[in-house]
Amino acid sequence: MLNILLTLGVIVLFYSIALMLANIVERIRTLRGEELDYTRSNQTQGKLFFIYGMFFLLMCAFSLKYMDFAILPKAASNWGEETDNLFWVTCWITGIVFVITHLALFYFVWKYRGEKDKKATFFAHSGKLELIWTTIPALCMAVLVVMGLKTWFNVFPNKKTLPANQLTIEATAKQFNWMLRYPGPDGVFGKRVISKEFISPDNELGIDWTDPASHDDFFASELYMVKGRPVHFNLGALDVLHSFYLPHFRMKMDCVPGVPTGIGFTPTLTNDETRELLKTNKHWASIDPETNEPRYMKFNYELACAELCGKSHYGMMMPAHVVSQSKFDEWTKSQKPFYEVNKDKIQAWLAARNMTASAPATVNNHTAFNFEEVMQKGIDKDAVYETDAIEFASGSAELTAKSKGTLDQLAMLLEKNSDSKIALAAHTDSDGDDAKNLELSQKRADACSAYLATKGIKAERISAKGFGETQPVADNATKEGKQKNRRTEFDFN
Amino acid sequence: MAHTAHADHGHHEESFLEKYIFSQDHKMIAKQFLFTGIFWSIVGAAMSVLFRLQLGWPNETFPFLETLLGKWAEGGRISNEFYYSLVTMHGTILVFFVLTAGLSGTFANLLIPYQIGARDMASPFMNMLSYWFFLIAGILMLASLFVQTGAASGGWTMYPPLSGIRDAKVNAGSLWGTDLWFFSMAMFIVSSLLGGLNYIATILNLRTKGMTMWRMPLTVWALLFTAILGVLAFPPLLSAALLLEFDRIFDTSFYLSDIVVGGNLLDYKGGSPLLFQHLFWFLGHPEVYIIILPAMGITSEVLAVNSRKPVFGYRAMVYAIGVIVLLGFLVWAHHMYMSGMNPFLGSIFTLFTLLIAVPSAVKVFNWLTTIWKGNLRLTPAMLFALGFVSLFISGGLTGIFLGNSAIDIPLHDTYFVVAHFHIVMGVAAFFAMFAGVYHWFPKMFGRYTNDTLGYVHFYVTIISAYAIFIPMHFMLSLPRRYYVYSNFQTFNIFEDVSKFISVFAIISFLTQILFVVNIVYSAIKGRKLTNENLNPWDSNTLEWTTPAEHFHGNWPGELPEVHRWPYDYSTGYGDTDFRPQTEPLKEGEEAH
Repeated sequence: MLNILLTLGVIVLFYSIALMLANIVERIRTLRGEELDYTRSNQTQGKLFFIYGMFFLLMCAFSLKYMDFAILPKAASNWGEETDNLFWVTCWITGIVFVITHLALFYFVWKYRGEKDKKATFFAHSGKLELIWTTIPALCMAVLVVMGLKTWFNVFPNKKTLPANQLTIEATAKQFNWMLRYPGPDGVFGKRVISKEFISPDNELGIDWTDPASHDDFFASELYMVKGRPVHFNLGALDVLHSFYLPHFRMKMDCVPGVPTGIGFTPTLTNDETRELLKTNKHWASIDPETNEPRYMKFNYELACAELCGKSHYGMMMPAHVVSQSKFDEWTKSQKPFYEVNKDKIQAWLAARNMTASAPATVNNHTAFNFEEVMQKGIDKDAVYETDAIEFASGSAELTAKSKGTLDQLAMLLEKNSDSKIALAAHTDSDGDDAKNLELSQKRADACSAYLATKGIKAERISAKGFGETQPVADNATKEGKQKNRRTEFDFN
Repeated sequence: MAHTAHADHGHHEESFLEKYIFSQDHKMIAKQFLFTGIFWSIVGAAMSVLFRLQLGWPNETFPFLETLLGKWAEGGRISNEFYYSLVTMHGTILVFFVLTAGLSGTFANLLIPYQIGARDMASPFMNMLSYWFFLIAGILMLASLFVQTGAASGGWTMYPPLSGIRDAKVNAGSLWGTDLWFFSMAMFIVSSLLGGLNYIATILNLRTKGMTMWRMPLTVWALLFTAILGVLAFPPLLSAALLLEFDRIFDTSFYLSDIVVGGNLLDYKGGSPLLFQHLFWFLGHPEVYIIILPAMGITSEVLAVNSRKPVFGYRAMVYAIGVIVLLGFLVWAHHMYMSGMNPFLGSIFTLFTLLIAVPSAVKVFNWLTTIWKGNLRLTPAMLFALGFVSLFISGGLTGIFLGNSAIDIPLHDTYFVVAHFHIVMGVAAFFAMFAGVYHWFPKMFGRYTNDTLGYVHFYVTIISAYAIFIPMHFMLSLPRRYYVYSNFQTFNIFEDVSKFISVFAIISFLTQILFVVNIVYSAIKGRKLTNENLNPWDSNTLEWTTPAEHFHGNWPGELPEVHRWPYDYSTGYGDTDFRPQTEPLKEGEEAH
């Protein structure tokens, strides 16, 4: 307490002295008759401001040099190279403007510092000058917008054509770590169900363990990617917003509960290659006192969270690696599927829900429709695809925007597989009048086929039928069951 | 007759309460806003000093912190929860209470009636209410610092779900702290709407004879556009906050869906966190202009008066503000490039965002041309206005990086962003505020400030502000809002730089106290403004035609009549280098 009082005393003293000194200076200026005549202080201040200005520009340059170590090495992804390039172009343009305008500012203040017998020049406007400095910035901006959007649409293309060898990884964020799921050898993720039945403390992601595709999925404690192989992250979050941030790859995307997001790129530098680049960095070349080795030796890429997510936001670190395909295969083999390692727990989980892994809850040939998967593996003519992504406004046959998106995907599939036909089937739950449900489901099926027709799919390739509530796949007595029963199915033949 | 009636008005006896506390006089309300704003800036800046201590010396302990803060700084080190409360409160206080209410509240109240020649605001009573709602908002916000679970800690943007789930497991600050935050914000928005409507009504209706729109000083133009922005942009935030409170208290699902906490799926279904971000930034981006437009107005006025030259391109300056206001409503989603919204939107917002650079560049070049070939009086106010120009250039240029969606992918939510917005809307707006206080201090208090302290204040502040934020531009991979960097080898490289920044943050803070000492001392004991020299800066505008002594009604006699625009400096007519707006045009003199 005494310390705090003493400190306060010192602070008060400090300000009193400052005030006293300033008052003395003011008195002297008053005696000299300067208080309202800024002639003399203009001389001093004009020069001082100019000196300050030169010092400022010098310090900016020094800062640029000193902080060199903080600039990350060459981007380790294809898009990172593009955004870096754009960054440096913008740096040059803005840097030139920064220096010119500041030089003008400092020079003008020094040059035109006021004097008693001098007069300012009356110069109120000039259309020509104003036109010049409207047009030049507009042109610069036009260049930057065009360059920027080119890169932007490379990173986030409008039309998704998936590279054949793409590696897909699911990253789900929660307070305060990352859950990375790899699809395993079959290349397909086990289905996830967002319902109270499936989500539990021992199954936070709501993985459907009855789905055989889930049995070879594995969770990784470190991120592994393959050099030169496109990677795509399906991003999500359980509790609050997070942001998937890979600084060395210059990649970032928010993870949002309830809204699936994603980002993809191709890694271009392995960890070893970036270590090599760091040898010239003064921080990374310095010796780490703990290991007595240069710091770059232990360098790894890192995954961070870039959206405030709670009190330990700063701790969501996960090491990342870019390796060759053979090393990646080796690593994949060493990873045990979660299903195998936790068989007992999963059996208990299934038993508690009256489910069995060998007999999936859905009818055998019914498959959840996953566009990217179907695009990649081709259509399965034996399967009946189910989706809840074709939905309608309650009680009407009007397609929602989401539904149109899904139908667009179907149109793309039909275009790609020009020899196949599609049969659409719409189902409802048991709520309401049977006949009305039948009628409504027929209208809905027709709405889908009409929409596909507008996308250029010939009418003879589409058949559509409404089944009303006649073909339930789950119990209509429960809310979840009803939701399962309200569905659209389709198969290709 | 009219003359005596007004003279009587001047001698109307006001009780202490009427004059100082529940005042309806715009000048007194301006002072109330100024001092409340100063209180909040000290609180907000002190918070930044506290968290800079943590960032600069993450491994040290400061026992006095435990004495002061108790459980929030056990062992003399700020806890991570408290750190996030500090960051959140620092942002909220400075953006809303200081740079919105403190800046607009002070100068709109002071300058609008004075500079358009009105006796007071259109509704002096509403004006008083505007201050009192602001004060209540402040009291609620202050109270939130003392609740047991801590003040709001979800960041000043209050994104749900972090701020939307009333669960200590998710975020302790999201309990009562966040409720108080929202209630305070609601009061604040009421205050700002009452004020804004009043400013617009006053400017449009109460201009004195001859004061056409094109004869208004740029300060008034800027304040008019600011008020329009505020009136249009704040209501969406009020609705956004209300809906979020519904989610928090009544378990509605406007912003929440599919949330799993501790392995349990919560009942929220169908909402979207992105909706809140859209609503928030629909206010949040115009808010940036609500802060910077009055700053631009003050700068234009102070530069012109002290350059003894007209503002270059007066009309272009007005049009530029108009375009900025218009575009300001079309760029909000540039804060959301990485939020998961449709990337196509990102492309449109990139276009509009970079377009704003054009009117901004016009303003900068016009300011530079204003001082070109001037006869500069380098008063402390003038230095701060010049400092504003420098800061606006530095901070504006980095906006061109962030506005470009592709560059924003790596830069979003990093220290580059922190550096950008602190320079362009934080420090720059503060500089304009200082310029305004130094410039109009004789009008507000009838006394002069101490110039020497003013000069010291300027140089130390600009050097430390740049020393803090220039290095941050190079920390461009470091995510913001990190309590410590040591979990990452990539980020754990800024030990020296962080110390350097923290030292200058403390220096800057101490210097601002010097400014407060200066104005408090000068308001009481400073050199007096005498009736022989009522217009110390030889300015053209109307506020300098009022007497030194304040009374409700401003002018003792008739209201002044205006005959010219406010920027007739060094025209070559008359025997001085300024022609007050009240002076009729001489033969051969051109009207502007």
